[in-house]
Amino acid sequence: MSAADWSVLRPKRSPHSLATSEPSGVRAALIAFAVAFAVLLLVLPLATVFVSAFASGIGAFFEALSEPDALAAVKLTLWIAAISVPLNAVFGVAAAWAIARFEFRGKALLVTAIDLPLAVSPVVSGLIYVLCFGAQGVLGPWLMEHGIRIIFAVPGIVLATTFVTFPYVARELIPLLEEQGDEEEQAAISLGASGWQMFRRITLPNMSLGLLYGIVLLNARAMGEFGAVSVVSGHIRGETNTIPLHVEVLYNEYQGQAAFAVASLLAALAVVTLVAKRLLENRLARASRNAPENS
Amino acid sequence: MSIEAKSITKQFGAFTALGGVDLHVKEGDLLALLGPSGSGKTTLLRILAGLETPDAGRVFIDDVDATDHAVGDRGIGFVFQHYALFKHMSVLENVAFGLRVKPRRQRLADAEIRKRALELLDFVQLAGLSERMPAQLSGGQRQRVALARALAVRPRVLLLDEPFGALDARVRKDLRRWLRKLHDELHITSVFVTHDQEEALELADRVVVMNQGRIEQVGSTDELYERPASPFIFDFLGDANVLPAEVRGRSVFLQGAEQPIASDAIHPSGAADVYVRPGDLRLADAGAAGVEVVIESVQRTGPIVRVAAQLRGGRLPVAIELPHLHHDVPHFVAGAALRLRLMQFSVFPREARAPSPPTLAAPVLIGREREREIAG
Repeated sequence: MSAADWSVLRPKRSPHSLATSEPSGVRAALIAFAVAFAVLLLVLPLATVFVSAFASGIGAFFEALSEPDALAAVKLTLWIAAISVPLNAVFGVAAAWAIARFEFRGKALLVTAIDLPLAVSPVVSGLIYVLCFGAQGVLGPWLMEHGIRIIFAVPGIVLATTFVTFPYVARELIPLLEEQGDEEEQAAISLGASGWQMFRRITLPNMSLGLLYGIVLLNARAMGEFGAVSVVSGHIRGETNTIPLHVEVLYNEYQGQAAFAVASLLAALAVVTLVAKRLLENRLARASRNAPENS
Repeated sequence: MSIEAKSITKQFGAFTALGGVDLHVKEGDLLALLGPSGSGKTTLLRILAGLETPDAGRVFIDDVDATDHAVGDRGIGFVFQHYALFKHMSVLENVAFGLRVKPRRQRLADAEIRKRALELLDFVQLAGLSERMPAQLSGGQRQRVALARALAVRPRVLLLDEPFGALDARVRKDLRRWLRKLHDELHITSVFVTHDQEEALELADRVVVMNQGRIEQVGSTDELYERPASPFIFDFLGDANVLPAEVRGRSVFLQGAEQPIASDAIHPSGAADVYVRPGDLRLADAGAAGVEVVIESVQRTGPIVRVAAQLRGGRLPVAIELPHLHHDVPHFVAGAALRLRLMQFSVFPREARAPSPPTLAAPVLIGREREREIAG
């Protein structure tokens, strides 16, 4: 939880009319409730992660992180993110562009399909791939014949992660592109720009903040995904365990301190993500305020 | 550089935006496409630019069929209604954009592009603002950046979509004069779209009036105002009183009062509507010839005196505007029974109130009473 997030709790001297402001007692009670709720459910657990991680001292903390299996999990997680984040960023831009700018058959279907990963349980997402590419799956025998391993191997984890993180960039960009309209793009074309020049010089710079925002969320989810990855990974230590899976393994083996040490990596990622998200939101808000009111 | 559109049609779903439009813009012309919203004027402009494809019909630029040419290949400059400035680029980069995206072989050197852009900014009187961002400019300044940007690629035709629509009245007037001057200097064939009749009449050499996807009339300011081809145009170009009348021979009968038709056109006898502008009406004493009216109210608003009256017969309201120096004005008080004289009016057959059928579009009659008849 970043410090900036608490600003909402500070009493504001905004010109609320008397009719819509509550008696001070009610206000205090509401604020107290919200603070207590947030502390109990958000701050306390987060603090616990860090406290437990360092419970046996800094030495033990670094030991848990430098253990070969932990290192392998970190490396794998970074790899997965490095593959699925660019993949979904490119897809998200393409899909958002197509949806916001063109009318075509099946557009409603595409919009719905993009939301599918958000609607379906991650476990199901994982199972879909097992059923498709697993030994008993539709494509399983063919894949086996050609010696291609997808399930219980890295490709499966990449697929599952990509599926789960599919919507983030597109959902961020569609409303942004729709709000901006295509007049600037038409202007670029009328000045002789090619399609690619228009995209690189006009479209991309205009969506860059929104794209970055989507990527930050996408990355956090890609690194933290548990359910779908758990189904397809097979939990092979040092090979197909990502950070979240490794945390679970450690925890199940009663290595509480080590589990929390590794978990603190994800918690730190969350904090970084929230700060980045907040900064980007501020810049996005400023950008839309600065936009000429007529364009 | 001439542009010609031949039988252009365009359909948006069930809505007919353009129903077979022919348009010819002469070299060096400054032409206005005037019409209410939904009349198809912007669609026509966008089709000329190549930003929209017609369902049928061809577009010729300098007698070359350009219908299938891309926007960038037509040699046009387009100024968008809301300017569409690139908001992440400085004013200078906005203007330079068209020069920067040229294919490498045709592209000028960086220093040369900068110089050209600065020259253009100087030309549109924005010399000091080259490093500003669009968000830091006023509406009128943005408009001029948009114009400089369009001119940078040396277009042969300039197309402007509602160029003054988003500006306040004062800036609009200044910019209008400035654009007229610019056109007189550059002699670049220009077409602009507007829904403001005053703007069209003041700025353009020729005005094309559009209604419901068709061209109603093409003409100079005088032609349109003095000889409107249809009731729609009469209505659209200013306030109108519509009075039921009857045509018999060479005369129009308005509530029994006879008005001679001072025009050579043949008009079919029968029910008709007289269209007359408030400023083309005069009032005379009860003894004089004319239509009987009763004054309802008199309102003095600076240079113009507005009189609301009612026709005696049909209880029809009539709006009259008189110059405040008119010697009779003090006598016009509410309740006075006077005679109404029509100095100039148009007669349209009653059916013509619907979109004009071709047979009735031609005979437009202007009745004129000479000033001395009134005086006498």
